Amino acid sequence: MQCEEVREYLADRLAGSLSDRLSGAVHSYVRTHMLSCPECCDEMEHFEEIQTVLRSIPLEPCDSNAMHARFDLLMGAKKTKEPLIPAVRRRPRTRPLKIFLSIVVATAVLAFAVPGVRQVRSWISATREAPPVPSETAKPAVATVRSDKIAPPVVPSEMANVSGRVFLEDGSDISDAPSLGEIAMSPVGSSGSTAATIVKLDANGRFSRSFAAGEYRFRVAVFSQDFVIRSISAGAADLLKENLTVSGDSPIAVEIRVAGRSDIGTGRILGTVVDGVTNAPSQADRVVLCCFASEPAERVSTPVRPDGTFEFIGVPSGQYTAELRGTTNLVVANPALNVTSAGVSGVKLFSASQLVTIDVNLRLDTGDRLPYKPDTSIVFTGTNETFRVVASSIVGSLFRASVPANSTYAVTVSNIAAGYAIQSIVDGRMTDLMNGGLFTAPASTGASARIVITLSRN
Amino acid sequence: MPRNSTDESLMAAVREGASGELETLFERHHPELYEFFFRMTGDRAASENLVQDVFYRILKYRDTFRDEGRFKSWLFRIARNAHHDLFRKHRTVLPSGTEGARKDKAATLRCALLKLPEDRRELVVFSQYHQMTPDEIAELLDIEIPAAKVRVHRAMMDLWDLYRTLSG
Repeated sequence: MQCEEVREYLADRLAGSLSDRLSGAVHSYVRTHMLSCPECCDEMEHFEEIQTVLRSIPLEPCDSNAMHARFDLLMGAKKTKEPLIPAVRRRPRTRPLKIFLSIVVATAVLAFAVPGVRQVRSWISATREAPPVPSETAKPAVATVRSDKIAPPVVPSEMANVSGRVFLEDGSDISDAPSLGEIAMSPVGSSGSTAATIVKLDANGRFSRSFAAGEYRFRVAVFSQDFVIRSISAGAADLLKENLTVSGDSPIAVEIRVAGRSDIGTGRILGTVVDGVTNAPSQADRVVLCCFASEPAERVSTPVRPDGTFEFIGVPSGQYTAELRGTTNLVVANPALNVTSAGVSGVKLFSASQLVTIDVNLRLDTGDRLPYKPDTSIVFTGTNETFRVVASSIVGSLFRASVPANSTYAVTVSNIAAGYAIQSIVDGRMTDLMNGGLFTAPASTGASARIVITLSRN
Repeated sequence: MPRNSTDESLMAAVREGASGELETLFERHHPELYEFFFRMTGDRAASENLVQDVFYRILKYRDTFRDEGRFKSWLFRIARNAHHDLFRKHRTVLPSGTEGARKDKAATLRCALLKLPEDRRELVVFSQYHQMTPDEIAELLDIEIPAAKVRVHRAMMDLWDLYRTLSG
């Protein structure tokens, strides 16, 4: 596959059409090409980063009440054939004042001329003191005052807007789902359901409501059976486990990630991620699982708990690669994960800020090639005795492993073919790794190392 | 008209004089219109004004809606025009105050997005925030589908370059 074809794939993916046209065979080609082409790989990583960060840019909530009021005014103006001049148009500065005065005068005249005038009079005085969220009778005048310049949202300073959206695993929005459900927020410490504020999700999975400052329990009270909730988060807060803190100074964007019920796998992954050198819980914030069979770039992530444990649910069976995300750049020394339909537990991932790739060659003491394809087990064990990776067979008698840089490892070799024995195990510095010697992984960036295992015939 | 009527049938009714049906269209589409304008301008008040302006234009130009066309494409064509007109009139006002915002990646990228030329910015917004397919973008911009893909790709590359530059 050529770079041009991969770029076409990227263009499709950016334009959101990949799942419609990319076959499984092309997935495989793209992945193969990416492994050997740093430019395409970089480009894909750039776009993935851009897409991730774009999604994290918050959407400042609109003042829904004011927008509805202004729309009602537009409809009212339409009925009376008075064209409403949109707010974005420039108009002489005196016109809004004239309109305002004429409406106030007209309303006042009307108020004094018809029965039941007291309520209208009191409304006029109320709007002069502090314009409220417009009632049915108040809408036209309030909206006209606002028509040239929108006033800030009518949200008291001790309140903040909480808005949110429901979206699918691939980041796409829900659309045209009229009975999606509703969310509930109840102040922490309150009892019973009466204290909960219920907000309906609209057909596109959005909601927005202002809440007084405080700590709330956020939950999805009712939800469509067509979907399963995967995560609920507000920034870094996992709302499936944590409370939501509303402060008076900033809006909050809640993200509810769901999966279609038919897309749910049965596999569950339980594991821990620890520092490969110290064995302490990793500094990583999230574990990312890549990639689903449906699309090479599709990923799902889960938070790493303070004790280093993590859990994925509903993962279809298959081969995956684990990645890490967080404030510090961390990589996984043993990223391969094989998930069966029943799931997998006891996974232990080792994180490191930098890995060293070690190529291990098996050869005969005569200098000849091995006359068979070795099925040898080559294990690197950290000096803390918890880090342990098995080298993978690459081709012929070449094996490869990745270990955290700037640390030392014992090398254990077993499963040598009958009739052969290990004569020596040495690294590039000629360290004898067979008799208690430790392999030292260099610390330099992009470092690689080599170990030679020499066999002899019995 | 039933609440689950299609956008197209509602708009056809509005065109024929049942302007009350516009309310359903407003309920359905004002959040995504607001998001479009907010992503384009970074300014909440301007975005709210622009949403209002779009519905004003829908009423004013309702006769131009054609039955064979999709309402959403027509709606966003109006939205693009409304944004373009505002941008032309208030060039010095928008986009608003994200200069120097380098606190985090999101702030930097928001700044980069607002610095993108308008025609590229809207491609990023349509493809990344509204998940529009190449077919939809092509229909909206009245271009061929391969051209839509290429333009989205270029817009994202430009955004990446700007983002890198601003990230220092």
